[in-house]
Amino acid sequence: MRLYFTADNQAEDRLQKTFLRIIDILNDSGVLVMSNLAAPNLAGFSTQDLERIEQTGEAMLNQMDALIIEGTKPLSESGYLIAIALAYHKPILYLCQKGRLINKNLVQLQKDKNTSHLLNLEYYTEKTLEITLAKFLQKIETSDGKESPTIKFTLRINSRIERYLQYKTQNTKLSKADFLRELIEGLIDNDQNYQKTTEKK
Amino acid sequence: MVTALKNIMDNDRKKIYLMICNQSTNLKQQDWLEQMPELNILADVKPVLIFNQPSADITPKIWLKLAKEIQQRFNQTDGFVILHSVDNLLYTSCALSFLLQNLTKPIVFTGVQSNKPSVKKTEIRANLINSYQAVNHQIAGVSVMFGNRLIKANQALKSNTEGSLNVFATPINVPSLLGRIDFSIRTFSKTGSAKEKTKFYTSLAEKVEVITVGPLINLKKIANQIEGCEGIAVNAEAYQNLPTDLIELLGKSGLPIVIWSKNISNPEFLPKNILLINSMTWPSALTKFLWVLTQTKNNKGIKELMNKNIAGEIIHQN
Repeated sequence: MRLYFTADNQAEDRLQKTFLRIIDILNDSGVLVMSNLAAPNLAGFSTQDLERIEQTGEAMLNQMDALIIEGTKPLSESGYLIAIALAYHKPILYLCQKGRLINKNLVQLQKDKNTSHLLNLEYYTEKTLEITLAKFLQKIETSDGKESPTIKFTLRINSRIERYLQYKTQNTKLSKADFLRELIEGLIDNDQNYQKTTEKK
Repeated sequence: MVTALKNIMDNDRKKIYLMICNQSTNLKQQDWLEQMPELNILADVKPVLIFNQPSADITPKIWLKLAKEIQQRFNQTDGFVILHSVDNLLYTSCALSFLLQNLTKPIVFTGVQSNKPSVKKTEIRANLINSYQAVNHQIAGVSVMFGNRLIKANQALKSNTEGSLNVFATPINVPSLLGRIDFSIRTFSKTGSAKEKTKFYTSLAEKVEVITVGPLINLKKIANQIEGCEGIAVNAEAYQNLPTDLIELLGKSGLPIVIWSKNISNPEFLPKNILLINSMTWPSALTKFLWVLTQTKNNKGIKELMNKNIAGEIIHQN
């Protein structure tokens, strides 16, 4: 899972520590985080990826699974990022420390039937931060009950595995990719250590 | 710039006019915008319908109407976004760069290329959002925003990359790129105002004959067509030499003539009324000629103005 996380890099030290904590929590959950706080900003993309994106004119945010904004201190670019994320139907988590007010335009936008399912506005404290992030990650993974597989990567296999996949999928309605996906979903469901790690958050 | 952007989501949102020059929808403009509520968090947008036909039908009359509508609203807004299909977009945007000179505000052309409804909807949303953000960055002048590129309109070329959302490209080795989008817009151009006062022009030459050089060119027909014309614009893009009979005919006509070509470089052999131009794109050369003919009828004056950088259109000197 790839996320773009943005926050005010000029904010006071106390907030900067919270921002780094957010990145740590996400990294520990197995999420690849790209952020305006981290240099280089585009880490996670190969040179070829970046060239392809530049040539095809695709939006970088469209390559992400979601957007997280820490908006306790208002950010100049957050309106733009939220608009682009909504255009590409990406889930958004807008975080604000308890005691501060979330911008009224965003609150209004959350009430709109076209955007409410994607825009999550959440107040948090240091204590509730982990659980807020964990719930959001869970929501991304299970949005609308089932997530459609959209992440692509190249898996090289040898002829033995290929033969086995052919054997397991012939005369079934499953493709080899479906078979492997189901196998991995089963592994996730039965991996108690992984379950504990994600539930803890 | 940071200060200017600081409160985008607050009450001092930029005021933007969305000038619609495109048959984009059967819905009323306001209904159409309401389907994209995310656009309102970036700016206070007011739609204005200019032309409700396919943009392939746009003529100089619509360019003048658009320029006039912009002029009327110029002091009430932070910038303009022009919604326009790809057909004729470079002509409209180039014409506007000559009709509205020394611009102190951004005028950003955008639209959609894809015909697939699902892609079209997302593409238009993203292009509009990026255009609004370009206005928020106050990049003065006329530009085009498609895909992840913001390009000076009168230097832009149609891109040849099939399937790319970057519909327009920059000329090779020319810094026409004003901005690039990754997670935000990175601008490569100085923001802010032009030093001189904005000039608004309200007319363009109406009787200009356009000739495209090719093997089937009919000189007799051309001779009839150019009667009563104010000038002639010749597109000889790929030619290294011009047809002798055509040059003779054009020379004898005595009319102001602009020949646009990338490859011909021996203007000394041309009659005095003919000017060879290769320092700008074809849409720039043609629309600039229409404007120049309203400023002077004198061959020397025309030559001087055509070679002068009026709106940042000169890519390289002749």
